[in-house]
Order: sequence, then C-alpha cells, then structure tokens
Amino acid sequence: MMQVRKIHVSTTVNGEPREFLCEPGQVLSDALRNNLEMTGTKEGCTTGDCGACSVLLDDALVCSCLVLAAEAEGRRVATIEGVAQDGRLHPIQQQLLEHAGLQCGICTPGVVVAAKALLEENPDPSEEEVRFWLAGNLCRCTGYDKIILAVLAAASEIRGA
Amino acid sequence: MNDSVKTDFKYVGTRPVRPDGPDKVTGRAKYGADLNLPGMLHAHYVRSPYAHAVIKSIDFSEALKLPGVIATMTGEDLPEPGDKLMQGAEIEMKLSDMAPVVMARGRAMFHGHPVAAVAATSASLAAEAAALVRVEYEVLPHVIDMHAALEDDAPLLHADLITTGLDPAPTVPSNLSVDLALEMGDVDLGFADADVVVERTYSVPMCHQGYIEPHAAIASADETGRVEIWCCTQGPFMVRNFTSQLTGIEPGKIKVTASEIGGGFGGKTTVYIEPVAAVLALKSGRPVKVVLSREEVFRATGPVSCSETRVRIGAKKDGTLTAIDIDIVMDSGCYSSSSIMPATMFGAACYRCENQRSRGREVLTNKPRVWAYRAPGAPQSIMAVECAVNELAEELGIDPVDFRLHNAVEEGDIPVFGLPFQAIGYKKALQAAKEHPHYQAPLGPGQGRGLASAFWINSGQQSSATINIALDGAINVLTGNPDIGGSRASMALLAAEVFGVPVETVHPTVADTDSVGYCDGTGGSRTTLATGGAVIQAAEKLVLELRHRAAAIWGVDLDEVEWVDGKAVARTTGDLENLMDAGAAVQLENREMSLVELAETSGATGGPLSAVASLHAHNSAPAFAINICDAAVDRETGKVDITRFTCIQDAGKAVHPAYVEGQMQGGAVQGIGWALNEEYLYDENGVLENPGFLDYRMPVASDLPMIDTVIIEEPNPLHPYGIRGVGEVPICPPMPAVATAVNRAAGTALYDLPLSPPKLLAAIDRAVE
Amino acid sequence: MARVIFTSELERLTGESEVTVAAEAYRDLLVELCARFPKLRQDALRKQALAIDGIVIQEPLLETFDADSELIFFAKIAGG
Repeated sequence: MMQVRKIHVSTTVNGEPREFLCEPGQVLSDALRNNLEMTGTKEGCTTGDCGACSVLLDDALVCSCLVLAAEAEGRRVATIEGVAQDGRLHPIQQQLLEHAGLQCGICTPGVVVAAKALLEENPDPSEEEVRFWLAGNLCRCTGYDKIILAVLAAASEIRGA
Repeated sequence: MNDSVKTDFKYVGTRPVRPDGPDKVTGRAKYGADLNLPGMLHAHYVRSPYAHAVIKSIDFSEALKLPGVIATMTGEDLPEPGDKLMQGAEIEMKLSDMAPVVMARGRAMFHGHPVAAVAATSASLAAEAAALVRVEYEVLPHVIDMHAALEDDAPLLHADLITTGLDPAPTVPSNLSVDLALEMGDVDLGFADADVVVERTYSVPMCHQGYIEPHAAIASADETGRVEIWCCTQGPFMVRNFTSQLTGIEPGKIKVTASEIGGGFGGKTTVYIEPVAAVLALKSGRPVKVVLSREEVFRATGPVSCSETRVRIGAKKDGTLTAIDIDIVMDSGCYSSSSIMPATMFGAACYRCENQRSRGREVLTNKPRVWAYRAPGAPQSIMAVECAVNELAEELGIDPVDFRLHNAVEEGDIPVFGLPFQAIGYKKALQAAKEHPHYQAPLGPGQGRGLASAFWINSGQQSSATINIALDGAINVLTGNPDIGGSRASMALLAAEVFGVPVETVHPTVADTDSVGYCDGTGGSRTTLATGGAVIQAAEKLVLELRHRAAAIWGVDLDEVEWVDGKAVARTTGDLENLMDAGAAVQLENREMSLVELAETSGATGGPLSAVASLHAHNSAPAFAINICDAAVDRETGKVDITRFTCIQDAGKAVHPAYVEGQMQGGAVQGIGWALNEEYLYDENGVLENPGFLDYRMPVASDLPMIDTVIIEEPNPLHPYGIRGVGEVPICPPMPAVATAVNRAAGTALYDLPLSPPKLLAAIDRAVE
Repeated sequence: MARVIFTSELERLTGESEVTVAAEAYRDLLVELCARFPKLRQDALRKQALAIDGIVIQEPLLETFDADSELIFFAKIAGG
C-alpha cells in the first residue's frame, strides 16, 4: 500500500481554533465527527442528499460531507454544537421542542443549522420559503409539518425579541 | 365500557417537552455511529457483484498483507443454521432464512449480498483491504421480477423450497414460498347477488423504510468471551437474542446497549451488522465498528415487498357489499419473510361483508430479503381494496364516506381473519371525516379528491419497567425500549399520572439488556400500550408501597391512607403518635406526607423505594385511520401536487397528543412518497439502479402541504388507560387516498404505483385518446 | 363445553368451521383437537396465538378457559 501522508489542518470551529490531521480524501463531516469528536453533525448519506451534516463554512450553508476536510484550512466552520449559547437553547431549538418538531432526532441538528441560516438571511419567511429552504434536509419521521411550524414560530419569536 | 378504564387524567393528554429533547436539538444525543472506542477496528464488507452465484472460494491473502488488517470473516464463521426456528422471535422465523441474510453461505442470492468482511485499523484501510479480497464465483441464472419467478422455467432460488399453506403440499419445489387463503360465506353467491361489481388489478412498488440513520454498531469482547454491543436498533433484546442464535454466543454473554436511533419504521427490528461486529470482535480481541453506507442500506437492508393485487368487490344498488375477493402476490426477496399473512388478512378489515375470500402468495426473487415496514403487508392490500371501494361508490353515486359508514365494521362484527371486533372508533372517525372542513371544501380547478380508510391490528407483546425513587422524590423510570419518536415523554407522562407528580420530576431512561427486564422491541405500535402498561404497574406498586410507609409512620392501617396528587393523606381521626416527629402527638386527620418527605425518610421505613413490573400484554386493540387527499396534476409535466391532506385516526387515549399527530403526519408522508415517487428500480442484471436519496426520491419539505390531523379517542376497553397503539396504521390509507385523488384530477385510471410523472403523462395521453 | 372456531385456513384441515371441546386448558385443547382431526398437528398449532373470548394470547401455554369460552387460533403478527 502506498502510505499516504496525512494533512495538517488549522481551522476555526464555532469560534475556537482547532487543528487536526486528516486523510487527503476525508470529508469534513467525518473529520468533525471522528477527529474532533463533534458528533452532533450527522451523516445520513455522504452524497449531499440528506442534509443531516449541514454546517456553515465561512457563513455559507453546506453539506459537510461534500467538503474535503482539508478545505477547512484557514476557514470558519459553524456546527450544531455552537448553536446553543451560554446554556440557553436558540429559539429554533426551543420551538422544535415545544412543537414536537422531532421524532427520532437524527435530522434535527441539520435542520437547526439550516433553519438558523435561513432566519439570519430572511427573518420573516413564508411557509413556502421555509419549505424550499429546508428541501435539502430530509426528515423521514415528521412529514415536516411540525418542523415548519417550529421554524415559523422561532422566526416570529426572534423578530419580537 | 369497562369501568376499570381510566378516563379522567391530569398529565396524560398534555404536551410537555420530551425529556431527551435538549440532547437531540443540540447534537449531544449519541446515535449508532457516534461512539468510538480506544483501539477500535473498522469493518468493511465484501459484497456480491452478482444477483445469483455460487461462492466457490474466498481468498483473503492479499488483503491480509496490508499492515493494519487484523481480522476477516465469512459465512463459515456463523454456525450452520440447520432447520431450527428462531427462539424468542415474535413470529415464526427459520434460522436458515435469517443467517444467510447476515452473511452468505455458499451462495450469493442478490447483488450486494454480504459475502465476507474485513476489520482494519481505519475505515479507509478496511475498504482498501475489502477490495483486495478475491472471491471466485460461478454465476447462476437469476430472476428479479416476481411474475417471472412464478414461471415454470424460472431459476429456482432454493432447490428444496416447497410451498407452505397448500393441502396437499406440492411435490416439486418452486419459488412460491407461501400460498394461503382465507374465506367466509359464499363469495360466488355474493357476486351473483351484486348489482354492481368492480374488478381491477393494483400494483405497489418495492420501497425502503428510508430511515435517515444508516445501521451502525460497535461490538467488543473481553477475555472471558463476554460481548458488549452498542447499536441503533428498535429492540436491544432482539439484538441479543438474534445475535446469540446467529453466532452461537450464549445470550447471557451478550449485553446490548441501544444508542439513540435515527429512524427504523420496522427496518431495525432485525439484525444485519451486529453479529458481524461480534464475530470480528471475538476474533480480533478489539472493539469493531460497522457502519453501513447509504448505498449499502439501500442495496442490502430493509426493502419492502412490491405487490400485485387483484380485487373484485360487489355491492347492491343501496351500497350494501355482497362479496369481496382479494388475490395478492408479494415479493419477499431471496428468503421468506412474513408480511404476506397480514396482507392477506387485513385488506378488507374495515368492511362488514359476509362473503369474503382472500388469497395471498409470497414469491422469492434474487433481491434482498424484505423486512417489516410500518403495518407490514397491510398498505399493499389496503391500497387495492380502498381504490376499488372508491370506484364502486362512484359508480353507485354514493358519497365515499356514506358508502363506508353503510358498510363499516363495528363491535361484534367478525372479519375474514376470524377475530371479533371489540369497541372500535371506526364509525366515529368516518363521521369526523365527513364533518371535517376539508371534506366539505369545494375542489379547485383541476383538482381531485380521494378518501381512504384503513385498519391495523396493533400488537402487545412483552415488556418490563423498573422505577426507582431518588431521595428528593425524583422518579427514575427504566425500560428497554429505544425512544424512536417520543416514547420517553409517554413513559414520563404515564408515571406522572400514577404518582400524581409533575411530569418534569420523572426521568425516563432507555436501559441496556443487563439493566432492565426483557422488552420486545419498539415496534408493532406496542410501546406506549405495553411498556407503558409496565410503567403504570410498577408505579402502582410503588404508590401502594408509599402508602404502606406512610401508614407505618402514622401508625395507622393501610386503608386509612390514600394517595392523592403526589401525597399520602391520612383518612383517619384522633391523635396518634407520629414516629417521625419525636413522639409528638399530632392531629392526624387529613395530615399529608409528600412523595419527597417519604423518599427522604425511606432509609428508616424499609429501605429504597424501587419496583419492577413485567407483563405479556394481551390487551392490544386495533387502530383505524382515514385520509382525505386533494391533488392537482400538471398535464404538461405529469407532476402531482398534493394540495391538501387530512388524517383522522382512532388512537385510543392519546398520551402525548403532539407525538400522536407526529405519527399520523409522518406515516401519511411516507405513504404519499410510496404512492408518488418511491420505487426500487432494477436493471436486467439484478442491480439496483437507484441506491441513493437523489434517485430514490423520498418526499422533501417543498413537496408537501401542512398535514392536518384529527385524533379520535375511543378508549381501548382492555387497557387501564384506554391506550390503543398509534404508530403503524398511518401508513395504510395514503396510497389509495392519493391514487384516487390523482386519477380523479387527471381523468385517468392508473393503478400501477408509483404515479410518477412519465407514467402519469402516458396515462393522460391514453385517457385523451 | 368451550367452542373452537376454525379460521378458513384451519377449516381446510378439519373440514369443520366450529367444534365444541371438553378441554378446559390450552394443553388439553391441543391434544383433543389433534386426536379428533389427524391433519392438525400440535407443532403447527403451537405456532399460532390463541384468542380466548376475543383476547389474543401470543403464548397461551398455561391458559385455561371457561365452558362457555370462544376460542380462535390466530396468526401471530409482530408488526413494524
């Protein structure tokens, strides 16, 4: 076997400097989960179709399974672990709980990260806008109904605050 | 109704935040693939590139040359299954139909069938090593289509397979594994008596449960041979039981811890990877992690039978049904599974009709062995019956709800499967559908409406619960049922109700198989009913114990102490010594001791407050559901829009109504996906062409409207809290509701699901001609 | 005497849709039925649940029933 040398990556995750060694072909979701032990980012497909691995990379919403870990060098990564701040849930997280917007919960971290990105871009989305924004986040349990209601309620709460 | 069924609740029926919620919205919750152990190896499968082949030899020598490749496995590492039955399985299953699903032995039966596995120090190294394993195959003819598999000259999957269910049994083997029939009355006479008869054939495609979390497991073994398994499963005790029988490891040497589970829908009520992880862990002496890729999940787990159902239904002019004849053929993949039985039994369970016949045939093909999906078998046959009923009602000019009300089963009616109905809420649900604003609303231009009913039996099975009360009165509830959709919240509500304390003081835990009594899996719509029943019983034991303790403290008889709203209350008069109050005489009447006070003093009154209950639940009761669907069809593209959708269901007592609604909505959307898009597509070589979420198209948020829900609460007369079971029936009515709506919107008669754009466009063209 | 109602599947083996039995316990019921209907087999019956007066018992080994009970052998269904 050809011994491939690992790549050293310096990056910022949720505002904190982090370093790891990754294989050249390793994807960011894998590095987050297995090198940095941040397993809140989930892997449902590793082909960019389910959205469970959604993170922000320099403020852009991406499927971290479609980003090479080495591409995180010098960039900012924001994951689900950084959404609740100072022991307080983000309104999206709280509203998902209030609305029973999760059943098994495996898609929830990706939904939270994606919905937060939506509300930062559009604080007052319509139902249709929420549905199209979250079209990249597969949920097999809920039929989406209560997720949509939770995101709309969170938007309203944030606007009111 | 039975007087012993409780109808007045304080906590049950409210909607608290689930106890595991914060961990699940923050990413802290640990799912199957979220655990890593020191020194852990990663396993990778070698899978068959052929749909049917003899495995002549397996050579690991090149793979083992790679530094870091530690252990290998083939089907020969599992004991010969012989003709034993799986012990402790909920239904009859042959070990010889289970073992080769885990790892092929001698023959690969489908493309993607596991043939070998290697364990190495990293996942990428394991994948590289697996690619170096040389397997010599002798390719055999294969058969993918179930109709082709029934032809006389079809390749035989199993040379010794004799059809069961026929008397006399056939003398020659075939791919027809089961042929069963149920009958009541005289169907021929019934049709002779009919004024109108509808006859049609309906097809439902092979699909997948589509849980978002791929299967994942870690096994480790100690030097005594004791194995610990961490995995995502609907049933940790099932994993212990199945892994033991498939590997030969004694069950007492296996401890299974269920991780959080990222969906299952029936698909995680069996094992695929756990025995492989256990064998490799024993062979290597290291922890071994197995995580399937999405492609592997599609190719080699789960799928759900495709079916073809011919239905013939006759009715009098006034709508009275005279005869129902169902003939369903289902594809079980390469080994016999079980859902042909419920498919045959339950297709017409909503209807009172004295002349009924139902034939069910199960066929084997070179595809992965099918497995349970939410009310297994029922959606396929209900699809056919409900579409035919809608057509019949239309032909007779009778409103579809009125037609169903006229023929609906009720208490005392005996269906074709023989078991008389007890109190059921079907007619109430139909009435609610009729009165619903959706049903009253006019349709928009180009829209069609479909309505469908469904029945599912629901199961009970075995459950246990342990409750420990902490010194501050906090209530810890342990069960063995993974929380797949909010069951911790239900367990907490049930315990809170019995103790009369706020639900926030109850802390439910999903315990491992060493730490709690046996529980059948989270499936069969049974957890709230059966495991909840065990929680109720354990809590009632503790309430009795708390009354004993209070009686001892107050020096009164047990029957002088009541338990009211989380407190012991003395129902006696007179001054008596209070043992806890330094001998001071106190007025006892209506004196109270709270749960907290009793817990604090428990060390002095008999020791820890702890109780266990276990049961075999015989009190399950069926569920009925109705869907109303409005659809619009784009006549240029063939794309369907579901414009409005309503679910009505008799849930019995809804313990946490938000999660009941969630089950209804989730099941509805799975059914919508199955009706419109989801489909396994095989090429001529038996290779699945769409093993990913891009091409296996499950519904996404932008495909759907809000899903309205109405919960009917007809209490289950057999359950102390009137609980019925909720989770499965929601997937039964959507396919016929959607198909009827789409056909009415498009002016078509397309009953070959899925109603995908190309098929629908062709049907529209045919209808125009 | 308890009544046993055969579903059509079992009726094909017994030739009767309904019989009365002297048995008052599950184990005696199996012996009695198999003696009366040679095509019935104990191991096949044991794979089924028994509904006693409408209540399905998955594992009826130790069950007893009343003289006016209605008994139905019923396929075990696990669900998903």
